[in-house]
Amino acid sequence: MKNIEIRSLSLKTRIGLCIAFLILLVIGILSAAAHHEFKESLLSHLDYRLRSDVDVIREILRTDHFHTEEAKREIQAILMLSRGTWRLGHRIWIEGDDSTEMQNNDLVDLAAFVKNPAEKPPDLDSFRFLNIDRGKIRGRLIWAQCSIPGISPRENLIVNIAIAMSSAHAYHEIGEFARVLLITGGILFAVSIAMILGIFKWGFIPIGVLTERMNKISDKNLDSVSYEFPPMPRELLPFVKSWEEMIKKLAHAVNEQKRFTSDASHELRTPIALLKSTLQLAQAQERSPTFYKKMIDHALEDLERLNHLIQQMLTLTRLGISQPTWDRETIQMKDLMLDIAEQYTPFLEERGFHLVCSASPAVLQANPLQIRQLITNLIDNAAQYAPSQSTITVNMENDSNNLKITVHDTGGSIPPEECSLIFQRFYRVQKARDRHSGGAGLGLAIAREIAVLHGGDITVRSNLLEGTLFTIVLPLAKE
Amino acid sequence: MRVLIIEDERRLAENIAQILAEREKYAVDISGDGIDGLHMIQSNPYDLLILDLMLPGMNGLEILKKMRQQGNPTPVLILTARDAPSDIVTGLNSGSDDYLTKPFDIGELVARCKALIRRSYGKADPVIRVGDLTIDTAAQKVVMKNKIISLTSMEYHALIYLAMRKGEIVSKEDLLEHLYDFNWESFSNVIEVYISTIRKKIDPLKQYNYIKTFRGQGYLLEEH
Repeated sequence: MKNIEIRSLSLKTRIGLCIAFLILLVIGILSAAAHHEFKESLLSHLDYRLRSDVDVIREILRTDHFHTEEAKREIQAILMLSRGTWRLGHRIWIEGDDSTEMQNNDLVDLAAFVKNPAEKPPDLDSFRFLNIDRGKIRGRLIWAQCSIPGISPRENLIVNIAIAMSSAHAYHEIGEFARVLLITGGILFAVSIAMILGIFKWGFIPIGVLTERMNKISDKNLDSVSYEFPPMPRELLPFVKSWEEMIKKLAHAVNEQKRFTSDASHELRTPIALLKSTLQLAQAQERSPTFYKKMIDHALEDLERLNHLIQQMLTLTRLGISQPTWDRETIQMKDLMLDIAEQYTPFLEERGFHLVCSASPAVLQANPLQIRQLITNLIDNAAQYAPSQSTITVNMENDSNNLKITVHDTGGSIPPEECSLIFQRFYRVQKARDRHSGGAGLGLAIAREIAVLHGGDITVRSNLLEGTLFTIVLPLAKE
Repeated sequence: MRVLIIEDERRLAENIAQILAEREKYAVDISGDGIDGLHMIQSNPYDLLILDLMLPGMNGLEILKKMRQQGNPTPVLILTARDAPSDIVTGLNSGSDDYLTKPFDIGELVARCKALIRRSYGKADPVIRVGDLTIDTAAQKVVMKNKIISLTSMEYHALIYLAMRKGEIVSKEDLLEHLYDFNWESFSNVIEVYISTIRKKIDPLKQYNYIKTFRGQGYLLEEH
């Protein structure tokens, strides 16, 4: 068993992989979401700053005149304040008059971006955002327009304001954030995997203990298996329980088998010892013909006993492997009973017994040879234990479901504590150990096996006053 | 020598009894029941008990324990069909001296019986020497100064019993009890006859006086 290698992935690996994939998915989705949100907020912050700059510049332009030095200074100051460490560019010009412009092309030549009329803000007080993407230079550009009072009071001028801000810093921040996410995600993943493996290891400890116990079990030590375990998770308790039950059943079966083998060898050895000693005694010295004849008779008697014992053991073994449905026939119980009575009456009368039988017209669906043996084994048993000149009664009655056969004799009682044991193989009531009264103790075991095989059972009631009564109950054939 | 067989297989006990009587001229009693057997071993001086274990009435091991508790030193040979090493160990630990499993060889059984009896009298050597007298219990041969002495079986067994208890005074009852089964009282006068015949056969010239008579006490086999 040990050498069978499980080539497919172990359960542990499979569950581990599943969970690892899930964790990875969750961490991945969360990180992606966080990354996206962070990027959005950084970029919208950039836009917000551009918008507020535009708003301020509009205000300045509305209150002061476009060409005043004061306005220029104020605008410069605002933009300086706003840019901080970020790179900034701006271009302010009057619509249709490219020369009237203020500009700072630190970042990029803004004129190139703000010439497409299609990208113009839709109306005077609105604005439009544009992306700047020139290789290394990336940024956002706001393009707004506003109308300001012209030099002549009736004439309004339309002023274009374009401010560009580099987003390199934002992207740097985003990259930084992504790195942090990757590192924390990785650590989280590694820790989770380690924990899962730990939990698995911990969870499999009871199974390890069980396996170790099982490996130590052999047919030699089935009886001494310890059922004391370290605390088990509740989920495993039914498994442990049924494991325990299984071992106990096995131990019982093996013990039964051992007992049977040991009893069988004991029972076989006795007639063999008898036969051998008889033959050796005959051989020991020159004997008279009468002596030889007596020894031969004895030897044959022993062989007969041995043969009977072997036949009984074979019968038991065959009953043990036979199926209930084998060789079933319809049996008229009345005919069978008459037949048995006819066969047994002379044999029993010779030994000083009376046989009284009654039969019912029941019909049984069963193996006729086995049913005959069931009844005759009980009659034999009665003849072994009943006092001479007594009556053995076989009675039969039935209701719509069951057939009941009783075998009664007036023989000495079986002690109540032994009533359940007498159907065991090789069991003999202690008082009856004297071999003159019986066989090896297999007759009743065979009878019970047959009854059970036919879906029935056999019981015994015994006391000194009423004698011994065996009751066989067999299910009747269904119409 | 007197042997008790407690064995519920009547015919097996009879076969063993017959072979022991034929080969060794042992007096053998048989009991087929544990309680009856225990009673017999308690009330008679046996030289050997052959004991079956599965017995009606009382288990063989119980009989063994009971008799050992009561201080009965009779050698015991367990004869049983139980052949598991654990059964043998239990048997020997319960106070038996030997263990033989069925089916057995009848010659081996007889040899073991003889050895057990010999041992129980403290004689490791099957050959017992008294001066010039040599008694070979294995070959059942008695030799006096290189001359084989021919004894009847009862004479031989009377001599063997005296030889086993060499140096001790053995009473007439004692001798009778060990030479005959439970009917021994009817033979009470034959012992004197046997002893005087043995004396004549081994020492016709009355030179040695190996077997001494103590009036009212018994007989003593000794070198001087």
